[in-house]
Amino acid sequence: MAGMGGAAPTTDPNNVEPTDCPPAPTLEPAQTARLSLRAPVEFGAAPLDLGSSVSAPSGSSYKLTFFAYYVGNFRLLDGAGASHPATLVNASDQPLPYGLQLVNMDDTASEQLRLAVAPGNYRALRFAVGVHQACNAIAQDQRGWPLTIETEMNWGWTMLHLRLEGFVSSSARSSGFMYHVGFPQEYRTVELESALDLSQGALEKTLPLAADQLLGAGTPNVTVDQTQFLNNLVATTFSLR
Amino acid sequence: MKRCQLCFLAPCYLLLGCGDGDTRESAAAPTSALTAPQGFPALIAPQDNLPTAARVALGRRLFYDERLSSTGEVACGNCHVQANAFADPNRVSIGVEGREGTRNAPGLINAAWGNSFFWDGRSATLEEQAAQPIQNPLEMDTTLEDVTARLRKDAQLVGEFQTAYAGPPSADTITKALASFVRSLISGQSRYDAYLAGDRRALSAAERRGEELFRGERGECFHCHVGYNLTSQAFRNNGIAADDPDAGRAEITHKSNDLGKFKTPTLRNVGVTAPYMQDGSLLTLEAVVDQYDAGGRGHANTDPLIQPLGLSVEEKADLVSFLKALTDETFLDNPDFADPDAR
Repeated sequence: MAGMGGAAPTTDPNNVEPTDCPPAPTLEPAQTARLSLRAPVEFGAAPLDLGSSVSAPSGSSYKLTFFAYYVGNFRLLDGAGASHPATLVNASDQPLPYGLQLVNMDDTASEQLRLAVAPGNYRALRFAVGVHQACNAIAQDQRGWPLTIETEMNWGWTMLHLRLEGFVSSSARSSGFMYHVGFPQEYRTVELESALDLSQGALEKTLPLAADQLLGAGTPNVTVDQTQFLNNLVATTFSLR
Repeated sequence: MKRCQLCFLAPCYLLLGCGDGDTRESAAAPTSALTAPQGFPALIAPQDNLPTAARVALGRRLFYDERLSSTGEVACGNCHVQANAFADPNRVSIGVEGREGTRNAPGLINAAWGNSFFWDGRSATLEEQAAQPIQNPLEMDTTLEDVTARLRKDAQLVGEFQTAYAGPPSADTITKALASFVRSLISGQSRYDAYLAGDRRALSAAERRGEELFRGERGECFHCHVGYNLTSQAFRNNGIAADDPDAGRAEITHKSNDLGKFKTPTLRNVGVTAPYMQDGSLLTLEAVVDQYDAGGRGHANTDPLIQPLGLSVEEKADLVSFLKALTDETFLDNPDFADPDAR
């Protein structure tokens, strides 16, 4: 059953980007429940730290040196197919600027997400990985965190949706890799089926990101091309537990 | 946008001088005493140290005052030389009694927009930064208490402190004044700025080719040297030396992933800030470009972005030409930044 009360359910299809990018979003009065999500990076279901080498079943070893991505445009889906907005807020319940959170593996605190939602029962969580184009339209000198140069996600002419860099080693060779995802058409929406009972006002879940799935580390290939990388991002990288 | 699938190619990273600051300085607020160049975000400063004209002038006087050192022979301006964009032409800093420091003193350029200071980012604010060289045994080798006592004997200076901070010299106001002056060292009038503002003739053909390399797939320098100040202010390991004993950022964070990382410096005025890199080991821009073209020198924690570039001789020359176009001559001879007692 859906969220109760007035957070304006809609039937937005996947991949619909917000058309605005407000620096100071506001909460709707009905968004009184809180969904807390911890978003650690894992490899083979085990925690992964930047700079630590991990082995894949293929025999290759991986080391991530930089990993950051944006999340935003959260929605909760009810049993009737309606979607309800979920607003990213900080620990003080203030909506995050631009409706975005930059999750950076080098900053553990950034892996903690908090969403303001209308109380209710939901069947799925939907969110976007990336920065919608309305944010790119904001003049550089008018931008605040997390759209600034210092994020390492701003290349002047565009924001990156996701940036992943590291090394992969096999018996044959060791190579650096980098996935810099930032084209407008590379904005991705992820949908995860999971019963989410927010009727009591609060719920804590974990939203792990499986780096091994993202990198295709279970395959004989040491890395994947960017098309497969993006497919992995949507299909197998995130889970909810 | 850059198309980077699995890029086993390499950017040219130019970690040369220093970089700085977080606009997230707490309690920050817009200021009116200093003006941001076109295209820069608004300049902000701590609410308790807004850079008034009196504070900047006092900081300038202190910046060149050798009484800030134990022997009365070293001022901030000894290592931060205006003609060198407030970088140090020596390989490493030379402190009191000729003591050698461990790193090359970085330029002080647009530090008002910095989010951390020193090559390893150990200070979060300019005020905090200002206190450290004074107390470093290899630099000025004194204490803020001793400096305060010396300055309080100078009636004229005491008056200037009174005007600027409504009180006598103290550790707090000394560092605040120094920070105010450093915050005023704003540079945004290079030929490249004119080019970006629409004067297409401001750069030569070679410089424009160099800019394309800088921003393009061949050089990929922009991965780190990006934005209004040509730096992301991030910490990266550019593989400067295979056996570099300097742990860099890891000294602060104690993370193995940060071993040998140093702050990405601004490239503004890079043509006059030699020698380059945190260890001052590269004497010319040509040597810097060669270093990146070679993919570094094999430090164990070299960033994956550092890979051999395969630039031609002509491309390297174009890149150097572009880097030299980043010089802001008005910054180097601005009388407002000079030693007020210089003859």
